[in-house]
Amino acid sequence: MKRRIDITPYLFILPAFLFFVVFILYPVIRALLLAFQDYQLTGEVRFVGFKNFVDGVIKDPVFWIAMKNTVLYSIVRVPINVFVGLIIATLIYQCSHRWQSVFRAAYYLPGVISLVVISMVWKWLFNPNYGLLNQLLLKMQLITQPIPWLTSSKFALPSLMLMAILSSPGSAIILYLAAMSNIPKSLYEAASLEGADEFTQWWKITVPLLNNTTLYLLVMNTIASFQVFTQVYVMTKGGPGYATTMVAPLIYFRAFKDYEFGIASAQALVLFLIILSISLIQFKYIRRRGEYI
Amino acid sequence: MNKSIKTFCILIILLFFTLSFAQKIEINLTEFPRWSYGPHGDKFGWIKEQIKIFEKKHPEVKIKLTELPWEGGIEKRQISVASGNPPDITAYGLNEIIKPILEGLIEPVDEYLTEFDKKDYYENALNAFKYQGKIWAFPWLTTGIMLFINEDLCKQRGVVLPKDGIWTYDEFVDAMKKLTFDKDGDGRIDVYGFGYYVTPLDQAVWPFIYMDGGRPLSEDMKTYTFDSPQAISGLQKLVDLGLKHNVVLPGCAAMGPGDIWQAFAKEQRVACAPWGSWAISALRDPKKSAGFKFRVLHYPVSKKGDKPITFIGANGFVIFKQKDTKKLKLCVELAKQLTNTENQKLLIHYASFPTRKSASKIYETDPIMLAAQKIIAYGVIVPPHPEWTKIDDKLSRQIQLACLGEISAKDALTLPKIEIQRILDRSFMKKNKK
Repeated sequence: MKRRIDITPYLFILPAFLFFVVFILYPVIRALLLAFQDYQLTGEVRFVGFKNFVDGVIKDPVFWIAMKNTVLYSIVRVPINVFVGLIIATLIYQCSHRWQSVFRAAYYLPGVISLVVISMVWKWLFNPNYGLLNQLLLKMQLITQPIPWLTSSKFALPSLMLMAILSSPGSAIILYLAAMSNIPKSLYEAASLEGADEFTQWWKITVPLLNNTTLYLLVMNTIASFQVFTQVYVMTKGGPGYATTMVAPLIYFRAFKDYEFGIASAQALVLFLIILSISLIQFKYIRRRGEYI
Repeated sequence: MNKSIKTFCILIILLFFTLSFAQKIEINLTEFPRWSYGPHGDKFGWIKEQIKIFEKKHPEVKIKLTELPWEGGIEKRQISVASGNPPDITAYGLNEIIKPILEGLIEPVDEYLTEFDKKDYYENALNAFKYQGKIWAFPWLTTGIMLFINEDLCKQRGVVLPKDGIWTYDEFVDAMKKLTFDKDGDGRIDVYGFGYYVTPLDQAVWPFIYMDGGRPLSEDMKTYTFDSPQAISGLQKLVDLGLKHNVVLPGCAAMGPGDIWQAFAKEQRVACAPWGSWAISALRDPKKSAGFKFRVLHYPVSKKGDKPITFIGANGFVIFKQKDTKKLKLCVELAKQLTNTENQKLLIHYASFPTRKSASKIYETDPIMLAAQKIIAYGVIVPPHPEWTKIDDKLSRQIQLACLGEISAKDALTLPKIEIQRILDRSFMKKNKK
């Protein structure tokens, strides 16, 4: 007897699938093709092989400056953000349920505010002449001259890192708290009976059992860090000089300011490959460490 | 098929055809906020009024207005062009449309300019839209950058300003030194003589680099020439204001125009700053400034007798290529309406200057605007090169670093030479291939 296929589930996923094809899959394939083409504003395209990769990646010194800045930013930002998230989540986890909810909301709330608004506020905080940070440091006599936070090549990138570090790691806290609540209490009870102190319990039980969450956070934070855009666009426009030029804003400017869509796509493709490689390394290394659980 | 379904289908088809024939010609117009117009102070009020007039005259036309903000609006418009959905008509400066011109996206307007138009437009206004021998827009307004100085602070510090508005670099430095002072006696400088910003595609500090004769590109735009001793000495003069004479707001070279406006117009922590002529009406608006007396002056010249220099920007209505000749004609008519004498007279509300001689006398009773008009008479434009945005970006970043004292003036103008020359060579080769 011929088996009848029930199309109902397919119909349910059809809208989401169409959305995925039109707004994600098609643009990705188009961008991939564009990396090997010379695109004219008239819509005319010409196959140019690897020319865009040579002009926009290999021979473009600004791309490598941007890549160096992005890597540095990510190296500093990602581990600190994940670690701070873990510490705060551990502290909150000790509180009663009511206080846990209060802290959860307090830490997550800044996450729903537009990054543009947050960047504007930080820009004012960093203002060398009347920004709050300098005023505070001068009042406390910790400095004698205002620090040129965003107006010096030496300080601009560390200032953006500082902003990223001091911004609340809301989503990391929420995820860690959820993961911590899944760790069986019996493990802590057994460790306690064996005489393990609180720090040992945290280090030997909590941290290893959160490995999968840590992996997820590291991967997601790395991707987000490599795609940093808003802060740079609002606060420094990549300056002074190229001190805070990052890859994502550079791609944007190449495409929509210089109309170099082929080069922008080639740069985007290289960025994608770099993020993919880093994510695979993170998966391989951290998953292996977590496998004994 | 039963009868009622058949009737229904026929009705639908008839409705479709009726609607298609009745469909109006749609013209997409993109505009930015201009001056407050009408009882509600709508910044798009003038253009909306013009649309009403045009639609009344042409009932078959529907003009779709896209209102763009200044913040990010220019980029949105660029994206619309890049994605193949440009507006039919919009106001541009020449440098923004060179690439689209070369790609064949813009309609030249020479054949639509009447003899009266050609006589009535100022020559420099038409020249501001001339590229490869053709005119690419209906000129609407001109503006330019100049130095704005706080007269109240000058009076307080005993600074005498040049009567004709022209001063030498040394006179400028002396004035700025007097205007740099500790206001509250706490031992720290509160007011600085000069404040400026170095932003890509904004020539606020370029008159300094041009002061001794330096120019970024050769006449034929094939060679980079900003590494000349004249250009380096001009940039050195700008750098010295901050690093040698200490008369510049610290770090201002890396700040945005908004920060400098705050320091100049609202907090009066900067006595002199470069702005476009739009700032005249902004400084008269108590909501936008602290309300002080001000004057407009030329950028300093190197020595007495030298001709001052500034940068001007012209804005004109550009028409993107149309397949439908009827629609093209309507776009031309609309552009002509927007740039006619009557509408140019309204530029009095926008602190910018008409491009038609027949509308030129709008500022006769306004001494500051008259002074500004005299300043922009010395205006030049940036080289109309298709890759100017890239070249400008590279130069701006190096000039910024020199002004912050991180590299020398010489390095700032010689380091980008190889890259800029490569851009020029590649562009020339591309042009030749075409």
